[in-house]
Amino acid sequence: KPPSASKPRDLRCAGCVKHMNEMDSRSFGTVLRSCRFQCDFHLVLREAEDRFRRSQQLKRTSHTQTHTHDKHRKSTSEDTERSQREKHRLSHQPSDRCVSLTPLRRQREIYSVR
Amino acid sequence: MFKGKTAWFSDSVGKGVTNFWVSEGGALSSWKTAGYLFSADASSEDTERIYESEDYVKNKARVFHSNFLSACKSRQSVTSVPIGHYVLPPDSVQNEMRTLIGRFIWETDEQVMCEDQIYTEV
Ligand SMILES: [Zn+2]
Repeated sequence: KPPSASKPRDLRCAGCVKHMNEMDSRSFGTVLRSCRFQCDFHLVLREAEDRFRRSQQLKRTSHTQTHTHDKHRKSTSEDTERSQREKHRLSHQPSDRCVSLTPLRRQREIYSVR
Repeated sequence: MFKGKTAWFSDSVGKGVTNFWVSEGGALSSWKTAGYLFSADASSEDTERIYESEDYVKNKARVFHSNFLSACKSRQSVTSVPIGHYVLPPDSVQNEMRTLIGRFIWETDEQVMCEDQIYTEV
């Protein structure tokens, strides 16, 4: 009947035992990373979040590229003073540098078949 | 109970929870500066903004489910509730985790306790 006492103790990690005074929204990541052992829950959380972060970063890179495209296109017709500066910066057009958002590595990371 | 702590609450969190935080001495702050970020819905606009933020990508911001505070309230204690189980990750992460570990603690009625509480109760 006791819900958590019956769980094996070795399945718990720092993320499972720390309370609010020991960990907050800012320190959680550091606490998890500094913990040598991680329970299933926190290990899965960390791996899934890392994948999410990587895809966020990719998204961000592709966003800035689309943004520069738009800017360049606009600046040719309007805002002359600015377009001069922009043109200098954008001498190489990043037209064929597309970023794929598909997490290609995912399968290999989960199963790591050798 | 929450003296000296700052929190940000998503619009998805019920007013009762926010009032409880304030009535127990907690302060309110912006999501950029708050020590604790609480939400009840990972897909709400203000919470998604955090997942897309620099802080989150750099591992410096986590969102907790506001049910954590309900658990503190029902136990009249903050040291017996393991905050690390009340983490509220982005929807895509949640879905990925559910297939591997099942439901989140804040989706169930199950009560988890911190280590010290187990010692004193056993
Ligand atoms: Zn854990």
